[in-house]
Parts: sequence; structure tokens; C-alpha cells
Amino acid sequence: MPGFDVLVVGAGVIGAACAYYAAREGLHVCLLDREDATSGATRACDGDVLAIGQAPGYKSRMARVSQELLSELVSSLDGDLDYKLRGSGLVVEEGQEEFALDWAKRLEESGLPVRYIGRDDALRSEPLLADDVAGMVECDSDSSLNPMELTYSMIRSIRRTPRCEARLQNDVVRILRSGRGQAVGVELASGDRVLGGVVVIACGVWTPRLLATVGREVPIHPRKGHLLVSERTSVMARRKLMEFGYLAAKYDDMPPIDVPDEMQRLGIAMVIEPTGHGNFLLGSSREFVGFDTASNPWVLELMSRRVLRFFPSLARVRMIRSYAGLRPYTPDGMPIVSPVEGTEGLFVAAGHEGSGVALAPITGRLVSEMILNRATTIPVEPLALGRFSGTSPISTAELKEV
Amino acid sequence: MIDDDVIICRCEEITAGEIRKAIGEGARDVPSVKRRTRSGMGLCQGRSCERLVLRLLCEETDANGELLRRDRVRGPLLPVSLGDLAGDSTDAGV
Repeated sequence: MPGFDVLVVGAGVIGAACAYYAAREGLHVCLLDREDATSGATRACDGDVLAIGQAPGYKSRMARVSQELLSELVSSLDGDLDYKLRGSGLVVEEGQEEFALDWAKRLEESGLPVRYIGRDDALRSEPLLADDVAGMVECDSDSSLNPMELTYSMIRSIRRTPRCEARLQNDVVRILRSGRGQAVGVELASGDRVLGGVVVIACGVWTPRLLATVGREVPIHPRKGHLLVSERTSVMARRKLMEFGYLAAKYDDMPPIDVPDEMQRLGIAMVIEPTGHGNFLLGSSREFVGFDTASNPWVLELMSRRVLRFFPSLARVRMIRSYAGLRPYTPDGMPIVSPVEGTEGLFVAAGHEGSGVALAPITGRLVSEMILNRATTIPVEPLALGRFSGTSPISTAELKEV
Repeated sequence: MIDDDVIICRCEEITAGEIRKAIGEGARDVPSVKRRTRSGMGLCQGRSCERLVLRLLCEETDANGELLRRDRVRGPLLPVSLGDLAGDSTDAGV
């Protein structure tokens, strides 16, 4: 059985990016997944590559570096990725202007092309917006693409690389270690083993199960989200738009939106996004309900109401589908891109919550740099798994109150 | 044998050849064919193409169609206006 240099477990956008960048460095890579590619969060997300919603500072800079890597990545891949540099907007309601101005200023200071525009300019650029909004924060560097196509294209590239493989429908159940505690490969449900000197776990919300096989806890929890898909229709919004209150649903230190308690509990916040095929995606929700991915009609109803608050003229546009998926949440809102202490050669790349697509290129690049012991493109200390050590695992009851 | 140029998903105009290519790259059930091709993503939500996609999966992979995962049933089951989904339209400003 030939051994690989690197095994990457999980063929979502994060795992594919880790394997792709490693293959580009000349490492012999095998990407594994228990199902087809994109069967976890990558199948249930939207296509944003956003910096505008990232906390100003390290995370917004990380997103900006990833955007720069993405534009290079897109040009070196085949496939129709629907990559569009359309920008994005955070729609601000009355009473939120002060927070929005501060958010825009801090993002701009972190190096993003961000500005605040008032109501008249917001309505000129997005004519279907409700005319009582206060303004909008805009970011020019934000883009969108088809995240599944991005993943498939990276996998095609891996498969074209000599001595690199993508083995789908290969269910990894255990990380194998040598007597000295070094990662040496993985074991499949079939009992077969795949050997490799470095093992990268990129399994999103399923990451903790594999890390448990080497006795490590990882604080990643599924945070469910819904989206509605519209019929193909004329332009409803020209780019990704979110309500500024979306940030309150995502971050604990933002003031909550003025909506009924039930909406707050379900993390309802308006998002609308054009896709490359003329359908629009409408959302959103955010809740801790375990691994359940059924569409909840009550959540869809509340999401629809919230979208209509910002786009009243869309009442007659028809919805053809809903879907729901699980964001890999971490307690501090930062992903884990890190070696695993105690098991040499083992790495984690997971926990990107709703930003996996946006952060995939920088994540893949960082993992390669760490494997090769090179200086990293950005500091990796804030992404280290060790930042959670000493903290007790969060109970489900506590999570529901977050 | 269905010819490669036959349209399987009429809503999204996806051919048998495109579906075979998706299966060749790793799709093994209806949802993964859908993700790779858009077959079943259109207005009818797979009502006309799902059986044909299952047939192609069985032909290409020797799978048993009865055991293959189909697309999950999710609302709205028919195209429904955003206003109707939101319930009482007079309450839409909530």
C-alpha cells in the first residue's frame, strides 16, 4: 500500500482547499470523504465571499487576504464558478446608524474598501429596498461564486496532479498513530487503511468525532441555518445584501435587532443574494438544534416576514425550495486551523461557521505552510486549537442561550 | 440506453451525458447528482427527472435504485409566493 505525504479528510470546500494547496506544493495528497464531495455545510450554504460581516481586525484581514487568494485561485481552475465581484451591502435601519458607522470605520481601518452611504444613495443603488431604511454599509471587494463548483474544480485539479487522489465514498472512522504518538494514516469503515505522514481533519461539524479517536475534544457545534430559493426572476437585488442586524444574530457583543422574541431566538435576519442562474437565495436563521437539517415551516415563515420588511415588493415572487444545513460553530467565532498537540502530523481545519467559502483559500494556504514548516501568510496563533484548552466543553443547554 | 444528448431535467435542461459525467466524478445518489448538475433544481423540483436520474445511477454504478438516496422532501412543495409563506400579509412588516 503506497503511503501519501498528506491525507485530508472531508471533501467540503475547506478540505478541498487544503488538499488543493498541498498538491500545488508538490506534496502527494489523498482527499477522502465518506460521501460525494460537498455533502456537508458546502451543499447548504450560499455563495458569499464576504469580508463585510467579519469582525473588524484579525478576522476581517483574514477574509481580505482570502479574497485576494481566491481571485488567483479562480483564474487557475477550470469549471464555471460563476465568480462575480459584485460587492455587498449591510442594510441599516433607523437606530442602528451609530453602530453601523463605527463598524464601517473599523472595517475601513483594517484595510477593506468599505463606506457608509445614506438612505437616498442606498435606494438609488437598490431600488426595491423599503424606503424607510436609514442607509447602507458597502464593501467593494466582496464577491460571490458557486461554492460546490469551486470544490469540484479543486478536486478535478487534485486528480490531474501526479500521485494525488480524491477517494470519495471512503468513510474514515479513525486516525491511526504510531507508538510514538505520530499520525501515520487513517482507518476506513471497510477496515482498510490509508497511510500518510500528515493527516488533516476538515470535517466541519463532524470534526469532533474523528478527533475523539485520538482523545482530543474540539469545541465545534452544529449551528443550523435555513435558506429559501426563489424561482428565476428579474433582479430583486444587485448584489448580496444583509440587514445590519445580521451581525447581532452572529455576534454576541452587538445590540439585538428590534424584532419579536421568537425571531431573536431563531436568529432571524434578512439576507438576499442573486445566484448565477437567476434564482435568488433568501434567509436567514441561526439556531442550535443538534444535527437536525429538516426545513422548519415556522422558521421559513418568520424569514419570509423579515425579508418582506426590507423588500415589501417581493410579496408575489414565488419560492420553489428551502434547504437547511449545519454551520460549524466555535465559541469565539474563529475557525480552528491548527496542529493538534500531542499527535505529531495531525492538523485540524474546521469551525468556520458561516464563512467557510470566504476563508477556504487562506485556510488551504495556511495548512500547507504549517505542514511545510514555513512562515505563514498571516499569524496563526488566533486559530490555534490550544486556545480552548482548559475550558470545559459547552453544554447544549448553554448553547441554546447564545 | 439513453443517448448522451437526451435532456433528462427539462427545467434546467440537463442532459444524460452531463449526469453520466457527474456520476463519473463521484455522484452516487440523487442529491449528489443534483449538486453537480442542477438536475432537479428547477421549477418542478425533480418531479419529472428523478426517476430518470435514478435509472442512470443504476446503469452506471450497478446500484439498486430502491436503496439509493432520493432528494429530501422540503417545503414549499409547490411554488408559493413570499407573501403567502409569510402568513398574514397585513403582518408582513414584522
